Amino acid sequence: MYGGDFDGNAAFAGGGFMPSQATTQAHESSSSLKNRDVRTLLPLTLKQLSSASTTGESNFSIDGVDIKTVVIVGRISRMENRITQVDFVVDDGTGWVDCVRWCHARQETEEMEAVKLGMYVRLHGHLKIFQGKRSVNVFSVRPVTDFNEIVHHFTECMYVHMYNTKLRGGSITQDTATPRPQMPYSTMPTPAKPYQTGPSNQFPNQFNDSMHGVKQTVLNYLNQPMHIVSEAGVHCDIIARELRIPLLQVKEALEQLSNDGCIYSTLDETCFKSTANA
Amino acid sequence: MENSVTQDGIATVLANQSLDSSSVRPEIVVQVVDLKPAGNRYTFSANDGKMKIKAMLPATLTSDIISGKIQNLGLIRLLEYTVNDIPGKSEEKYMLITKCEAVASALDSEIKAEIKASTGIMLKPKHEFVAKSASQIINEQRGNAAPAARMAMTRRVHPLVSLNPYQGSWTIKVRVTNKGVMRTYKNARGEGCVFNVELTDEEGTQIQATMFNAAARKFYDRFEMGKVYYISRGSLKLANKQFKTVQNDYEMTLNENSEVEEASNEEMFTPETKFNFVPIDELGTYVNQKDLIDVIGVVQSVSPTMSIRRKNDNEMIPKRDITLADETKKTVVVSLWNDLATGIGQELLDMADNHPVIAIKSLKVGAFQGVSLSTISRSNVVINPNSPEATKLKSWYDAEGKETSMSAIGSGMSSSANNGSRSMYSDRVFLSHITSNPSLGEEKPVFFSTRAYISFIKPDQTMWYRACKTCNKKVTEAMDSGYWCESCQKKDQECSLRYIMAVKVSDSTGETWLSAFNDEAEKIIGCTADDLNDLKSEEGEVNEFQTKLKEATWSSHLFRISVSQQEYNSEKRQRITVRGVSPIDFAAETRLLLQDISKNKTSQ
Repeated sequence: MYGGDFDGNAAFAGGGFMPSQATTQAHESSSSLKNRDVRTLLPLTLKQLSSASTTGESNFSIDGVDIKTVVIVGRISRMENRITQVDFVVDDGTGWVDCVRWCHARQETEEMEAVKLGMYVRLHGHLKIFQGKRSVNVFSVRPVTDFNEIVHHFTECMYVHMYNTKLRGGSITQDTATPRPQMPYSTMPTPAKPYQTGPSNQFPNQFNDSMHGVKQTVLNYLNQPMHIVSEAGVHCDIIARELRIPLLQVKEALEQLSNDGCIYSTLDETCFKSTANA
Repeated sequence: MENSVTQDGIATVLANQSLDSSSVRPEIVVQVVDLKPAGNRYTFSANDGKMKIKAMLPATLTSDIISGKIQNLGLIRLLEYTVNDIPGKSEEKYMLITKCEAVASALDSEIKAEIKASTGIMLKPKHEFVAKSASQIINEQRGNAAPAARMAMTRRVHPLVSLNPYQGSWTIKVRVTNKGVMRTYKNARGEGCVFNVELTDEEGTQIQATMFNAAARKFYDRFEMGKVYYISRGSLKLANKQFKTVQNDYEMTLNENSEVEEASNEEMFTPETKFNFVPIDELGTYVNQKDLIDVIGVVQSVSPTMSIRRKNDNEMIPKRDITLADETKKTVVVSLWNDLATGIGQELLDMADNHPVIAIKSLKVGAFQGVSLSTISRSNVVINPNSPEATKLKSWYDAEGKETSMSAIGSGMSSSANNGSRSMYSDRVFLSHITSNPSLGEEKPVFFSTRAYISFIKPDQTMWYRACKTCNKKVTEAMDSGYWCESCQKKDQECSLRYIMAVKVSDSTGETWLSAFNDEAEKIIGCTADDLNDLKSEEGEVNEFQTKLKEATWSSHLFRISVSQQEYNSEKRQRITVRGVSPIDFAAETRLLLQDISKNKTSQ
């Protein structure tokens, strides 16, 4: 179809497209190295955002996934214009968050002028701690014009939460074969994806909130093919050493995963195996 | 006297329509005139000096004719015969002779009677008339019974299932349930014409009958859709699997000697359509095979009518997609074409909320979206059929099916046929499905749909090329002025700009770069490349070019993408190209998410 419309070779001969392609190359190389460094765009409710775990000023995670850019849909409940920025508060019914939009260019100023107090908006931004409080450094604010978008946003938050907590880790059983083309929306990650997870260096201040992340990491480790085929399973000391997680946390996670039915003990109470393909 | 025909013999024959061995035998001697062969028999005119009648001798007497025992212009005595009407000519009759004997060899000429008026002759015929009257009454009584019995014997009907090529003569009684068009052909053996009909008997068995050349011309107007016929003297052979259309091991060929007679008193005979249903979850094995299959299912949704342009003759054809589900908890999309789309398809649209059961005969199985079904010209759709399968299916649906989450047989996800852009939903993926599989698209390009935000458009990339206004190919600046198109081999004073650009997109699982060409890029940016170039060239405080790019950033779209491999500096890399861009339908997207959430809850 495009062969008739466009002579690809001629266009490439003219250059111009190549630098972008080179950028693509660099990006793809980095994206295949570490899954957790992939830049995601997470839809979040404000309750999810306020309860996300943190290990520093700009490092947040939820459901075992790092938070990079967030998508928020809510109503502007307070708004204050300053010389270089607009400070406002967004409330979506589950919580609220402070937002700041820096206005250096005219387009940014014009975008904020279209936004009014009480208006529903969709915003993209980066979550950080500012003056001791969580706040979003906003990249973009757009008024909501189709109010189905509000319902859609909440549904998608539920869906992504379910995807990251259940499908990504717990449903490898359904997807041990190589995924076919034409996979549906709920396509499982490829088997290669879970065990590309790098070791977690988190040392969370809030122990209970972070346990889910540790559990997910441990489960992903045990779901690797070489551990699934192993009859004896994996010893908890090996898990702790490989993942660089304190042994106490690993044992806690293993106990919870065993209670959930995701793993089971094998030779003794210190060796575990995933129930996938069991 | 010894060598003379019976006076008024033909009249006697006409008065006594049949004669067999048990009859009282009047003396009937006739002269054979115009004797000639017809097939394996001989026909002649029987002459009594006053009247003639067409007659036919049985094949068993051919040897007598050849040996000269029976001669043209000779005399024969009739022993057994039957008189029939000639079809289509109600005034003419002909005589079928079963048994006769030779009386005399050829005479000098055809006999012509002369009537002489005399008193003696007048008295004699009167007496004979009285005697014949008595014989006549008896013969008429016998004659009335004989034809009916003979007719019953002739009309003994064979069921289609009992036919085989090694059988002798047979007669079938069938309804024409499909009639093809007359087609002409040309092959090594010359030109000809052919058509076929689909015949169904009282038991519902079907067979296809084919007619060539003379037989095709003879019977094409004879056969009418829906009418019932007696057919005999056709030939049978094993059905050609390549062209198999009805479920029968044999197919029939009729030639010009075959007998086809309409049964005009058979209007009430309606053959039952016989189905051979395939469950929806077993359709995969029939994909792209030549078999036509039957399907029964509960209607889940009915799409509006669409018009599809046919490639070979550029004609617009109506089409309608319906989604069926059955007890296997799988759904399949059936495309109704032509009259089925506009006629019965409209009925289905009106009653879709009642979820009727429909049975469809003769569907073609295709691989579009994994598995799909299409009607053809011979397909037949029955709404809420009276059959055990339909009753059982309806019970299942009312008790259990309406609450069950179905999945499309082709993709593992329910089709959303009610949505206008069905293809944008049935193969939806996250970006990570592509980026986590670097070898995807290696063998051949694969296509997906995905929903994502545009997270970055690099302002300083070269976004467009100069294109020929006629063929859209790249042009080069000419030495003096204007632009040269290598493809059109001509120079033009003007050119247009066309997009070729890269955009970065993100979703909840990752991000990647997409390549977009002119049509798709215009939907992303919101203006043409020429317009954007004009904005870029403007000087001054305001930079509308940057504004345009920023407005496009952080917008969300539904993308149709293809993934393929591309070699660059002897290294293979994935290339993701935008093939279509659609705005987001948030209501449809929400329904899709809820479907998936429900399905995953069910599978726990």
